[in-house]
Amino acid sequence: MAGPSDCNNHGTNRELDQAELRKLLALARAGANAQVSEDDQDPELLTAARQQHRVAAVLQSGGPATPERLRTRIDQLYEGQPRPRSARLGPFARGRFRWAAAGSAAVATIIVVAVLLVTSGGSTQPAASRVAQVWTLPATSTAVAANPGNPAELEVSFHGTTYPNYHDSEGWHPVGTRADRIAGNTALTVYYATGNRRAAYTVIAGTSVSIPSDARRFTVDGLRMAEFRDGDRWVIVFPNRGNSCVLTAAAPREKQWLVKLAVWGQAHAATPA
Amino acid sequence: VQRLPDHRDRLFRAACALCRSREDAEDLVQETFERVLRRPRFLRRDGDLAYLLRVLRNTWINSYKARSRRPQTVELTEAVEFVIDDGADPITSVAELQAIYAALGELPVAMRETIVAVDIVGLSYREAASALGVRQGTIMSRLYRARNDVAERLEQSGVGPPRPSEP
Repeated sequence: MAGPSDCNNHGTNRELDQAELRKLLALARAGANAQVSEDDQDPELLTAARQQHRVAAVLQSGGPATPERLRTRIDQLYEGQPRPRSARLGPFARGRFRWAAAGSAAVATIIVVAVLLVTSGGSTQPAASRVAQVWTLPATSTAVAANPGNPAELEVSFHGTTYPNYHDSEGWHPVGTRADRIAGNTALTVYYATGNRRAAYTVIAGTSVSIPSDARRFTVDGLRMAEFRDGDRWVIVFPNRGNSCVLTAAAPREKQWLVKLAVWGQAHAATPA
Repeated sequence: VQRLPDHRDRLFRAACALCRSREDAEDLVQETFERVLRRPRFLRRDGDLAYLLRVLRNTWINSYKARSRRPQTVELTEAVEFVIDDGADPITSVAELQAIYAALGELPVAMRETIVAVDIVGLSYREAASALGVRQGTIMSRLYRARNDVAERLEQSGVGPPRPSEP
């Protein structure tokens, strides 16, 4: 039987009508212990069936829209977690099959790593200049609410690294976010802007980034950074909780501002639990 | 193949119907995904949604159910944006959706959970029975009463769906 009882209940109106009617008739039979034929349907029962169908149809037609910030948070959670394993692999997870599968996986991993070492010079870390290209891309979400527990931070965080909720007299403020995959690494960027000036605060999860050999290295307020110019932009790089932070803005005027943002963010970040 | 995050819209709608508060609904959905993703398990792709609903319901019972009984300072229908899905029944209106969600909030919990599982999340009766820990027959009778109750409340309030035209 097509309809709600044995499959997805988002069927056509006609299917739902018939299915609902059958169930109502069955309920009526059970309740009144009487023989009710589908040929002599009770008008009240039909009206009830139509009302029931209408409620179901409306609920299947829409509802509350998921807020963008919740979408972003769930994507971040999903990207940052190990994937659930498929149930169809269940038998392999038991007994000797588990050891055979683990051995095969180890051999495959060694082969893949060896190939990567040969073909990529031993590193899959992205270049900071490549990460900095995110600065030119549009934000995909405008959800940048402050963290209620620490207003100096945004509610957005990525693999333990938080983003500063930075506002200043020049009008700089957070305006949007964007998620990317760069050289196989997940990255989340928060954009800051004032007028038509723009900066990107990108966090690359769980890896360092390669920095040009002529980058200047310096320390401000205990935060060790590297900076270099890449075409029309300044790039500042520093590590945070096992991740890499890459800050990018237009050269030359925003360089000092980027340093200020980096230091301010570090100074106001909440101590991890 | 759908990824787990692809189910977030249905879960958020389910959470709104259960919690009656936008903030609680957002927190509930986020907490549900956190719980599911924190402990990787064997999942059947076709059973993801039912499993997510089960976790959402358990989280709601443990943490949010008591809160949802309190009077809301801002009604859910004012706090969230309601949308009509692409390809939906063209005579459905946002006002009608809002009225039905408001009526859902007045239903007894058992009936609310059932209509959420079947009509909002889209589970089959069998899946809903498994997710809610009851028999299929119970799902059918609760769903019947829940839809009837919603239709009556809408009719009483005068903001319900238009009466379906005679065939």
